[in-house]
Amino acid sequence: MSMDPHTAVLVCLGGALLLWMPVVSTRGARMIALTVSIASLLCGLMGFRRLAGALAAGEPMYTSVDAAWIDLLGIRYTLGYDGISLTLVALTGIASVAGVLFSWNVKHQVKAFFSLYLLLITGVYGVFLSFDLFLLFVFYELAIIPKYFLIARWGSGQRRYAAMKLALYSFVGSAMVLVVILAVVGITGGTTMNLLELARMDYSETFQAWAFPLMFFGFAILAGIWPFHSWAPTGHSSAPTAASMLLAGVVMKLGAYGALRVAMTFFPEGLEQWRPLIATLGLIGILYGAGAAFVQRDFKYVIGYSSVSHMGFVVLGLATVSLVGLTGAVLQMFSHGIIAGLLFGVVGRMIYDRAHTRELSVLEGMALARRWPFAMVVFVVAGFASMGMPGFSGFVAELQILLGAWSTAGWMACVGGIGIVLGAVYTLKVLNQVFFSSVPATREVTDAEVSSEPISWPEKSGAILLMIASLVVGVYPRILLDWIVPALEAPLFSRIWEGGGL
Amino acid sequence: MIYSELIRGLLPEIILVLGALSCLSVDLFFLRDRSLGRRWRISSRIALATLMIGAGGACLFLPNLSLAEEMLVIDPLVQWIKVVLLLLGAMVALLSGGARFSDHPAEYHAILLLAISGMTLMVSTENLIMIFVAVELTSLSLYALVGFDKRSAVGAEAALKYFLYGGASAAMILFGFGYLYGVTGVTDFGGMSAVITSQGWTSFLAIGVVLSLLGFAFKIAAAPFHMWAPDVYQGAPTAVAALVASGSKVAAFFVLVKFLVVAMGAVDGRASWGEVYAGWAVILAFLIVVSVLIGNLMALVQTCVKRLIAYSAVAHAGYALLGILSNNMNGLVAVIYYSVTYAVTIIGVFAIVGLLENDHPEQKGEMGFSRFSGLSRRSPLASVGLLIFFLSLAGIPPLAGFFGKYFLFVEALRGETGNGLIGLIVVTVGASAVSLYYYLQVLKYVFVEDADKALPQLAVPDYARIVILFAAAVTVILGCAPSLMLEPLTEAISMLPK
Repeated sequence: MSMDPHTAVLVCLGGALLLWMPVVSTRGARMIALTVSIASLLCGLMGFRRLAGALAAGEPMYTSVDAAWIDLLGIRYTLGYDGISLTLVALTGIASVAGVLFSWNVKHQVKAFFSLYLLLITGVYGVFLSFDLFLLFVFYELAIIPKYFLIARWGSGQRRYAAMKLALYSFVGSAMVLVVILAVVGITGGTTMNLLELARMDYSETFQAWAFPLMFFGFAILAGIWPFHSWAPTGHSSAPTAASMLLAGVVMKLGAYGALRVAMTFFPEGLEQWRPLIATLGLIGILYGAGAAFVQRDFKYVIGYSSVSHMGFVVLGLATVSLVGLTGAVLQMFSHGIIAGLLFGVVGRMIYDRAHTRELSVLEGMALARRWPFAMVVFVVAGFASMGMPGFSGFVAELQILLGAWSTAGWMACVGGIGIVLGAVYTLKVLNQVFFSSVPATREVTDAEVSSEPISWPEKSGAILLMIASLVVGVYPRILLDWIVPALEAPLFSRIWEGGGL
Repeated sequence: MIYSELIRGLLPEIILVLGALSCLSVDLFFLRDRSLGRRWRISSRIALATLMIGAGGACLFLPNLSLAEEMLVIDPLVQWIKVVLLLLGAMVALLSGGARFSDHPAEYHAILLLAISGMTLMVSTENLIMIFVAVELTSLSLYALVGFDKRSAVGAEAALKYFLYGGASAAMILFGFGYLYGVTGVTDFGGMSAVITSQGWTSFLAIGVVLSLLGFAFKIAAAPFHMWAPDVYQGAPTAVAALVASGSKVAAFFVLVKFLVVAMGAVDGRASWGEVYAGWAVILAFLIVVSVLIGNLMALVQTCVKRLIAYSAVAHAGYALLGILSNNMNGLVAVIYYSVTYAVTIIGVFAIVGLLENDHPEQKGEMGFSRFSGLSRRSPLASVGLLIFFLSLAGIPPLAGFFGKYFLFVEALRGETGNGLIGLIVVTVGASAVSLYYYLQVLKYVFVEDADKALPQLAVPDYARIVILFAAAVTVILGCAPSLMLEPLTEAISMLPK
């Protein structure tokens, strides 16, 4: 078996199963999880070389495996990738390695924790690589159950409620997607489930008019589109750190990816009809998320709502249906994945696990900048990246989305711009409140309540990994753009542009 | 003539009946003064051996047999489904081995074998009279089995309810069959199909079809004829509940599909939204919608896991009926795949429920959710098994329940041109999205809720271990590689005489 993104799926699945073996010790479980996630990251990165070869040969994508699976229904095990897939595969790899590092301190049922964690990542990799609609859906649903147990078992706060809410939102979304998949099979006769071939079929306009929104919103629920976002803040806040990093960082991208890869390419005419509504919802999400983040009292909820706001940019980018807007949307998926990972890492692991509180008013009096300067530095970097400061990945992505929005309608870009300003407002507010406040504490915090444990090496290395990823993409965005743009110019997306009038 | 063929065709049933007799006689002559536990074990082993030999016997001859106006029809497909039924029966017999609820283990196992022979007979005939006889053989045996624990008041109530509802449904089936015979003048499927194709949908035919369909709806526990199911699932001995939920359903579904597709295929009508033609498809569509809604919504509010399983079974009957709407052989494959994988899964569930019941025999009937708390620590095998089974029932890939549903939906849609049934699919998929909630509620107790630390490890006897492992393996393997089952089935269908 050679190093290829599709082996990442198998490696993660194998790791998840291996952790059930009774011989594996707790310590070994951590090492296995770390090894597996690093190995799958490397496998994912190898994809860039293969794809470069394919692009040089004029092929927009590279097919890794294409094996018969269920002949009776035309279902095949097809895994492949183009630039969009690889961007997100790379994100998954980086976020999963960082997630393992940030959950080094999990003490309770470590093996089961990492097993579910790897199973979740298996599903994520699978979705990004599937070029068979049925297979994509299988991986998409595979990711639901691990999320539930990770939050309900290892989470904090209202974990059971949050986990059930998240699972049901995801399941309802995937049920909507399933209905459209079935309808598509009913129309095409189910002789093939290949994404590229299905996207080439002609679907009647009346069909697209209802199938597109059903499928788009089915996926977009998982992307946290307003008004179906409410699972996100509760889910992210209640989840254990690694799960919040993955949920906000990667799992929300599954939804956006599905909307882009399947809903938009299948139903360009439906997209054309529903585009204004989707753009509007994206804008509302940006503003609402930012506003809600501003008024939260719980540190994790601030980050949770900021995710809603940032994913609003992705939705807006998708709805611009312009090359620059879509490129920005994909880049924003990557960028937000990294930044959300960093923010949740700081809040969930570095601060909450030590201070045992997430109340902003309590944290205010703790002088955290003196206690853990490293956490402060990381949060400053992540906060700046999140605000869209030039030099970080967020800047390039949001700029492109706004450019795309401008080409659609000027006011959209303006409203989106307000969103960026609001982003700076709430980020600076929490930054100031948590780390640099000179306000005396609302209640005295004894040293016994706050653990004095220093920031450990896994945390440092995980944070540095994520910061480097954000900086590299911010300084030299072509490292990803050169892959994303050819993918969007591929025949798969050609009908979108025709429908989009560009 | 045909006596040799008759023996060949009925070999599995003959073996089962001989096995039932030997159960009785071994117990009568050799085991009277042995301990109850030993007698249960030995009877259960005899039954198990009989079923395995029967499965071998079913495979023994390469068939293509049709005797006496299709009273006995054996073809590769029938042979396949017979083997499956016998294996399901073997799983149930294994589960019965650990029971101690009655002083009459031999009678229990003899009746169990008779019930299973009724099921195998049911699938190997295409004649109304034989169908009725076989259905009654199965039902009467099951009534007795449900009430077998004479010390349990709940069991007696369940048996009585089952008997009254079952009796009414038998009357309806018989009444309906009478009309069908009156309209067509024959009782075999082939002859009926020819007459009906030329006559079309007449009012007397309608009465006959409706009545027999409603009778079958009782047997498969499709709403609104499901009232017996929760009581039976709750009150019956666990192994019997497993049989009612598995084997008898598989057999009933198989007969129902054959009856509708082979005999009544010409008058299926159309249940598309806005375009309804009279025919059995309309009745089915009604049963489907009512079943998936009532089943899933009622399951939401249950506090007893056995009743929850019963209501979810109502919903599952609704899903399975979808495959019949396609009115072709692919739909038949989908229904068989779904009902067989469902049966295996549900036997696994009952195996685990039985373990918990043995843990606290005094509170047998009430299987509250809290009984499951801490199961993940008390028995990793049972908890992981339950996880697999429930997620499969909820339709989470890559487990068999997911693919089964997908296949049913696809076949229902492909059977009609132009997505006419999409409204029905929307209702069904929506209702099945609800189902995840109640399955997760139980799993929450298993994996998430903190249990009393003092609870000891759960004893998992070998027989239960085998059943759980086998069922879990089937659920996972057939989910990941459905072709393992679909290919033999399509091949068997392609060999059917046309």
